[in-house]
Amino acid sequence: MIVRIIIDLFLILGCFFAFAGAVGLLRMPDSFTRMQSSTNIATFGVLWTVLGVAVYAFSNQNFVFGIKTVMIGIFIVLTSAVAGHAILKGGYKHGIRPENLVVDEYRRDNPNE
Amino acid sequence: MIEFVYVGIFYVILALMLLYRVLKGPSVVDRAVAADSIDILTAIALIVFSIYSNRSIYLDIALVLAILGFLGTVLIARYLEGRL
Amino acid sequence: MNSIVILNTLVIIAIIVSAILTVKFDNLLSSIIALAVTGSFVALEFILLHAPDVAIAEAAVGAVLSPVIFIITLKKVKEGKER
Repeated sequence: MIVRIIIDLFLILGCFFAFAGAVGLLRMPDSFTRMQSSTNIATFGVLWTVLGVAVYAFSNQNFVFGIKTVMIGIFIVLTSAVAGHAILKGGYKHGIRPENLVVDEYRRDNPNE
Repeated sequence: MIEFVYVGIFYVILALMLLYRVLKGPSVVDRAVAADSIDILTAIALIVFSIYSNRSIYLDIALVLAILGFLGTVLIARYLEGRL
Repeated sequence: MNSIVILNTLVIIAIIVSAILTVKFDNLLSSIIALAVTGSFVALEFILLHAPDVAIAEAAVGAVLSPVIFIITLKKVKEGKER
């Protein structure tokens, strides 16, 4: 019974963070802030849901399922940071700037890019 | 557990909401970020559906989708950067 | 109403919307991104129909490999136009 409560808590937390990330991706005013809000899905939304599924699988002695699920979760959390960095730099070099930009230190440090 | 399918329905509804950003993103970067998020949400829905139907082989598709979606996003970023 | 039916209906609506977006975009790179989204939704639909071998081929080819080939083709075509 206590395991069921823990699983439900993890799933509700994962759904809440994924919903917050999706709403931020829909309603943020700027391209870079939208990119920041999409990270919410890929870290906390994935992590809590994967933890809930893994707790359910381990409590049923289904170890293959649990280990595979935890591996997928760790992989998504590690690679989403790399993908976000790559697409941010690509967008900057493509010519996209934030709306209320005050200081641009990347342009100051690398003036020929 | 029968309630996992409702979590899967919720994640698919979130992916449907993100299709609006793919439709109306002002630049290509917004569309690429929304497509990456849709890939991740689809992989999570696959994990939840696989534990709902109790088949371990469905997790491999989620792993393939996560790895190759990451590669596609990095390749789009390299194309935007101009040095593919 | 069965919950699997609701899940199937939502995924099929997503496939139709993203396929229409793929055809209707003016920018070619946006069309390629919409094609990748269509591929991932089609992989999810194949899983819902209990066909994992078809789904693993669709997730590898339809979601990533054909957009990669289209991006490389777009790059080559733009290089040829500047010359």
